[in-house]
Amino acid sequence: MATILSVIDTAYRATLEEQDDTSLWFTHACKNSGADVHILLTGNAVNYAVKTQNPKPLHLGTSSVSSPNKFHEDLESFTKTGSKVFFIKEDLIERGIGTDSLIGIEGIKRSNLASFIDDYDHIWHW
Amino acid sequence: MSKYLFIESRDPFESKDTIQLYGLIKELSHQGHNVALYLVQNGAFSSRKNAKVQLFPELLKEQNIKVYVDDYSLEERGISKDEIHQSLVVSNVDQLSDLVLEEGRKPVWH
Amino acid sequence: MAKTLNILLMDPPYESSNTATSLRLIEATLKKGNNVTVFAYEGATALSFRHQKGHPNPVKKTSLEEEKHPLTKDFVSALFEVAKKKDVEFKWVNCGLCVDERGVGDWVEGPVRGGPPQFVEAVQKSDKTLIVATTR
Repeated sequence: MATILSVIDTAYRATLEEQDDTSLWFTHACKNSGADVHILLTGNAVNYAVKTQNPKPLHLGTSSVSSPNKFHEDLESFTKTGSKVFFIKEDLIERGIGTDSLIGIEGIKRSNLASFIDDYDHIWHW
Repeated sequence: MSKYLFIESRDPFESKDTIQLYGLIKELSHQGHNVALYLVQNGAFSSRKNAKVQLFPELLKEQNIKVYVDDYSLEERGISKDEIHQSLVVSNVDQLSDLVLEEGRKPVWH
Repeated sequence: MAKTLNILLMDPPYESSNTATSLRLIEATLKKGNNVTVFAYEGATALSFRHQKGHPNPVKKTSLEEEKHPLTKDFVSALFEVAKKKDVEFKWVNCGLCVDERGVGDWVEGPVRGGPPQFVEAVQKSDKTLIVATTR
């Protein structure tokens, strides 16, 4: 089966009213439908692996976003399917995020990215 | 060796990760892979010879890299063929379709 | 032999130049005698919404008829016509959950409702898959 690398770069886009990151959600849904797909977090999306994300419910008048997502939990759920999640180390460092802040996922150096992506048949970029 | 097509819709003036993509393309080329970079929409802003774009002129010198720019995007932005780097291939959507569907080429939209 | 392009669109109408480029690519691919499957995800489910309406332009001082404001639903319909004329396969799948949350379930003739399983099937059956994602 063809292997897919889902590169998630855009972060926190409409995630409150969606109660999801739609790229992360879609990738997981494709996995559930039988795709051999793994995730690479790049750019601001590396922050999705930060363990301390804790969005509060959002109230607008009597309406609310009751369960904003904690994306580190979504990523952990994804890894339980057997698929892997990676991140770009330099993107983490640039943002002043220590690896001890993250859930247990594997970092790769940007200098290894070319070799890394070449192992996959399809590359999806979000 | 693999073949890649990167469709770059963004420009390096607004999107820092465009520069990172150029770096990845250069590295893929050094590893012997064949890379087509297709500039479309604001990605066409890199095509001006006088634009100060990190890494872009170097990409044009690499043998394994071919850089195309969408004619429609150029015209929309008033960029004439005289203004752009000589080694850029002015292309069209028909050729983009061929590149996307080319046997063995992995297409990625950026 | 005809090839098949599988393309995922995400941008809503009137928000990104990705839409025009993607539709141009789809048309070119169909005209060359190839098949195309579109998966309209998120905001792109509104591209085929039947109730889009044109409007006059008070800044340009054009009437409704003069302005001829483009409607993406017409582009979608036009692509179906192109496919029909070229006798190639053109599928447009609107992501059902995305349609529901946006209330854009009334679309022009042609598109069908679907979800990630249909997309994965298309990935497996097509020659190439291209994701045109919304960014920022």
